[in-house]
Amino acid sequence: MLRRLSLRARILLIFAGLAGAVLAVLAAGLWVAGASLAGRGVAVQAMLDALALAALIAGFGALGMIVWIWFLFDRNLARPIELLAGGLRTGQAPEIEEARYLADLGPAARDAAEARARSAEALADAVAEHAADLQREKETLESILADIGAGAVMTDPAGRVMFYNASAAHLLPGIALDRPIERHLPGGALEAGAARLAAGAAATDLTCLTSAGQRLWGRMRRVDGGTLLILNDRPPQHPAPRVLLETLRRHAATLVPMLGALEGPIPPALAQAIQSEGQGLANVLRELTKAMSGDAPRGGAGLNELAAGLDLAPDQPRLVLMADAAGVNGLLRHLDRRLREQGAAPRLAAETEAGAEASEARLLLLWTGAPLPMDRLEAWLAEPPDPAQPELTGHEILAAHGTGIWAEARDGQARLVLPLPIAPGRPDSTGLTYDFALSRRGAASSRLADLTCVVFDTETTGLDPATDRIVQIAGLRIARGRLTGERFDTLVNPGRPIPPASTAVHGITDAMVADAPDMVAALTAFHHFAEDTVLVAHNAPFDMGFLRRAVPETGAHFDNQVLDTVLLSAMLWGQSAPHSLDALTERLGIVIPPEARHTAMGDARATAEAYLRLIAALEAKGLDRFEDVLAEARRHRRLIDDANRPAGDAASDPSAG
Amino acid sequence: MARILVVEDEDNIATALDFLLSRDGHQHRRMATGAGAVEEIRASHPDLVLLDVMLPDVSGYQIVQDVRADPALNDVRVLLMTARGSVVERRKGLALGADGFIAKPFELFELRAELARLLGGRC
Repeated sequence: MLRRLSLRARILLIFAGLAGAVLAVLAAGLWVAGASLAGRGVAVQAMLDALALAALIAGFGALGMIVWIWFLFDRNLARPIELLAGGLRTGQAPEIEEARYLADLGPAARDAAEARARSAEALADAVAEHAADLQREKETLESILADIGAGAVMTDPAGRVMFYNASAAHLLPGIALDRPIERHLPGGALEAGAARLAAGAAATDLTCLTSAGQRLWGRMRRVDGGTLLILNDRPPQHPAPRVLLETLRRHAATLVPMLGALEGPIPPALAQAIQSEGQGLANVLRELTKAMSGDAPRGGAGLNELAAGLDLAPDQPRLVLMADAAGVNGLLRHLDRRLREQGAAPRLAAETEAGAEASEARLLLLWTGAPLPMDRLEAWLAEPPDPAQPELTGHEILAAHGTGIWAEARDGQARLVLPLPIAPGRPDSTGLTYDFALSRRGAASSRLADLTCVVFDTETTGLDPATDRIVQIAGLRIARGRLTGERFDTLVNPGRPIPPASTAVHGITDAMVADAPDMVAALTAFHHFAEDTVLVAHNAPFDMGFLRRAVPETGAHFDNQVLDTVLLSAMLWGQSAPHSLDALTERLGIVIPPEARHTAMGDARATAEAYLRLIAALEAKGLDRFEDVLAEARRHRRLIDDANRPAGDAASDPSAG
Repeated sequence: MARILVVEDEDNIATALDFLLSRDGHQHRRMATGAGAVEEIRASHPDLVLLDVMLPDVSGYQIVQDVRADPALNDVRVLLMTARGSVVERRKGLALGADGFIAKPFELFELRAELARLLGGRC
């Protein structure tokens, strides 16, 4: 029991015992002296009184000395030992001032603690440096992969997507983590490729058709039990020019001897044959020209990239053009230099056709003055912008881009015009989506934590799915209990004015949706995004009501299974607790930035975070399977009514949406 | 019947054009270089100039630019011919003020259609 007391308390007890024992010995000695001298007269009584007095003084003296010694012991030994022990345990270097009775133990403990702290610090530094190295390497690899141009897709051994880049998302619209790749590349091409790899090839060429019917070429490689696909939408070599050259040769082979026979009058049959061959020749040349111009660069170059070193006019559109940035920038700088030698001060600008879907931009070098004579321009284009590459003239750069440049005068300004195609939109700039841990988290099952879900939210013109319309829809994908980073977010043109009362809630105005996709386009795209997933929403009957009411218009049937976070919340806290999104997120400690609340993406994100915490809590309660949750949900019938069944009127809850 | 100036450096094509234009009844003459072409156009004021882009001395584009810079030659139609067949070449020519563009090798019906379009009732 004493062990549970602190060292100082134990020492106090020892000294208290010692004091008690000394007093007891003195009292016993006094008692023995009293007993042996008892009854021997008055003188003896006086002696006894003197002895008692001496014992009292000795007792107080001994007590005082014991207390003093205890005090020294406590201050100089017990307390420092406790300090040292605590210091050593927590890694703090103890103060050595008070530990002088402990001789070298104090400094030694301090040295030991300091040494330990130093080595811990060094270890932490090393770990941090290593982590930073890994992060840098990861970022470098991400940027390399994002920029390779080709589509890259990696699947786990079961053929489920666990990595893809922006180019792959462009080639295979609707690709998403945890979806089988076969859905996007049907047919036997993947299987045949896998068979070639199984036969011992490290990598194999692949030609396949996407589900949309586009032909892709690429390489397939076995990586970590899964497969890495590198895909392109054009073949490694162009078969077209070879075929065209053969046709060209055939026409020439027929035409040359016929032309040789042109002496004297021409029989009508020969004239017709010559004409027909000539036509064939002209056609092949056209095809060949088209095929060769198909080699134009497909990389994207930003306008600001192309304008480097030039005077870019203000307020230019944000454009990405299909151009080799080095070549075009070099050519523009060369022309700029030549123009400045002539006393002009050109600025670079870009213009596009009006309309949302412009496919071409015209780069303009603008200056005030006379238009440039074409002969001078042609002479400048015959020069190489980079003297180190004399064969790469302006003409060559333009030819490689399948474009040209000319001089114009417009609105009192002279200008050079260079048309370039606008790069097709890519999902986003970094463009990598991956979760390599997918393959380690087992096969898909009906466990809530294993489901692939799309958590979504809509903003609408009002609360009645029968008469109101969607103005914004956003969704986030969750695969195996983690947000994948894949997102869907669009405004929707409802085709009618948005009531001011609704704008007051979500801030979406008629002007904001004027150029947005209509409901058919938006819901078709969302249907693609959410295909084969469980839909999760807060007050799902409301949002599902809007999706299902739109079916006759959009043709997009949302027959997904549905989970409602209102319902999951009711399972945990009872039906009487408040289940609005605000109440739920507050209970779960989720912060929604005020500016994000009542935007479809802000609410979808809050719902997704709430969902992930709710399923963890439900699992702890023993409800960890989708079917268990559905069975439990039947007890909350009002809430489940419409979410999983396309039915009549949906409940509307002003706290959602 | 129209008055046409052919500016073309390749003799074989010039011969073929000479044959075709004569057969269709046009009055025409040929220049084999670009130098002096603009002066000749000013002097003879043809209805149409059939102009090769790739001339050895002055580029056809320069000639178009010069013709269009002279308001007195507004009614002279310019039909460009080039062996570079790309779409941008056509746009470049039209942007500089040419009225039409045909890519070599062109077929007879193409040339006839362009001439008919540019000359209206005069051919």
